[in-house]
Amino acid sequence: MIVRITLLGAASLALGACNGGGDGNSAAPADNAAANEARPTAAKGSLADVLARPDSARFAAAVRSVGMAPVLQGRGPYTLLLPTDAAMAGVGDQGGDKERLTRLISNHVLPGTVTTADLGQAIDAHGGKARLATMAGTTLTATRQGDAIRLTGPTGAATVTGGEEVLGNGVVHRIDAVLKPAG
Amino acid sequence: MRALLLGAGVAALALAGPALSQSKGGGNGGGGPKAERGGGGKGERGGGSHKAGGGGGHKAERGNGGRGQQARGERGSKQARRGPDRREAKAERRAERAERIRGPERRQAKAERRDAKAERLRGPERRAARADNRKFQREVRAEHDGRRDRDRAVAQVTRAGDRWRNNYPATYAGNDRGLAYGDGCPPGLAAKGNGCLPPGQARKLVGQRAPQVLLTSLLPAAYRSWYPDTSDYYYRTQDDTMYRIDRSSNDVLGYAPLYGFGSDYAPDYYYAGEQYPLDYVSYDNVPTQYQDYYQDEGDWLYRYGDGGIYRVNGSNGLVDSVVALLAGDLAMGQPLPAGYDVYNVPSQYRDRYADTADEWYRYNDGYIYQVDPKTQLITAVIQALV
Repeated sequence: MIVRITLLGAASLALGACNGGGDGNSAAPADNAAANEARPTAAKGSLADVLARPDSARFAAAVRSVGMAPVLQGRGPYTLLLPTDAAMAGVGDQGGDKERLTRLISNHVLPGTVTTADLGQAIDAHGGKARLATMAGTTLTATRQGDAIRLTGPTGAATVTGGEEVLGNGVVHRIDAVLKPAG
Repeated sequence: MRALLLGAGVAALALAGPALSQSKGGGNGGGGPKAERGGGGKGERGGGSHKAGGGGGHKAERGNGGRGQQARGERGSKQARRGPDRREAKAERRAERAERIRGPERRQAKAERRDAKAERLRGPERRAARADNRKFQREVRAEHDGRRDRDRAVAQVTRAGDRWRNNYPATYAGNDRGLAYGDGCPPGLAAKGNGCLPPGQARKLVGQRAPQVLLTSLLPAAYRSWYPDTSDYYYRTQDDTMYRIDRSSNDVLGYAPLYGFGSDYAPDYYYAGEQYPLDYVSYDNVPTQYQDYYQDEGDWLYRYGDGGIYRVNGSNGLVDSVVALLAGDLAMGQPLPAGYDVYNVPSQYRDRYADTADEWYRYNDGYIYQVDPKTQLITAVIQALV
């Protein structure tokens, strides 16, 4: 629970220009950094706890089958776009293609904590469209659709349904469709 | 904010480094930039009347030709003969000095261009290799399954310690872990009869003194905060591979793959049950910000691979699980990529790192990145694991 800061890239380049055998990557966020504590979060539980519920069974099974459960139990933080079980029913097991399934799941994981309020503010601030990078390397576009938020990916779209659930290692948004990555 | 100021101080010292080192050698801290400006300016002026010339080596020739036309009379002609010689020699010395000063920068720029090109070229090749390897693994497993069935049919007793599934030795290569190769090789390399060397011959460097060209090849920007040099190690790159180098001896201790982060980067994750490459197991390559959280425990090894950190079974090299996803798409000094329009700082840090008109903050891979909203450049990196 430590925060450290440094101007890594510029310092690295500067030092790298001095001497190849020197300290090219040495502007480390470690030794000379100031430190302060992260604030404790009031949120309890983990993303994995949400998957343990019956209404998330299919997505949870997919996550387990490719060994990604520790991602959602771990430190995170991640934002999980959790398709409903009904939506996941249409996906099947991807023919046992674990590579494809891993990529599909990671397309529903975003870095950091993105709340509904964050989405709304970003949409408004960016002319009605806000872009979100997924851990599968794709970009989703968030727009408003009435009172709801619509997420559009390379091969489909989903609507955020219900309220968000903030947890100790991230936040969960339920969506009504599966967002498949391209390819 | 105190952290921010200290970070800026560190960077300022680092930035002062080249000037200080130049002042020792050249007697003037501004020598580098002056030499560059001076050399370039004169070259450009010379070139103005001789555009047919080209390249640094033509500077003296251009100077000679242009000024030779100014020779007047016999005496003048003699001076003109000596003059151009002197000027030529002077120009050459100047060019050499400028070259010496700019050498590291040029090498670094060249290395970065080469890296970028290599990433563009090798991404598809590496994916094809992964696909081939997966196919090979499936064939090995199928063969293994068939053999197991046959063995059962004839009631043969499987030899103790038979690891046919992956054809792996019980131990791994790796200087850090003090282990050594056994007789086996990983799938895809076993049949090549090359002593388990991976493509690119990276393993040949392990245990050897790092060549100078490697020592000067810094990691791509996205990796520098993940693998900063320490009091014990340097991290350098060559041919899509990151090398850990012992600081005191300059010996190469190990290596791991680098992935070409960029706008079209899409991670090719390992999944549970897939083979993690033997050669990359050789040392703990978990990025620095995660090292406190993912430390080897007995046979369970934590290793960085394409797209994330993986828990690997040390006894057979199979991926047990993915423990963290990493994007690698943010880096100090780089533009904020598409996909970070939305504020995503973890709850625990929101009171300190809230977006303002002058500063944005975005999170990824264990760091909070400060962004200049006007230029969209990432201006600082804050380690922030929760």
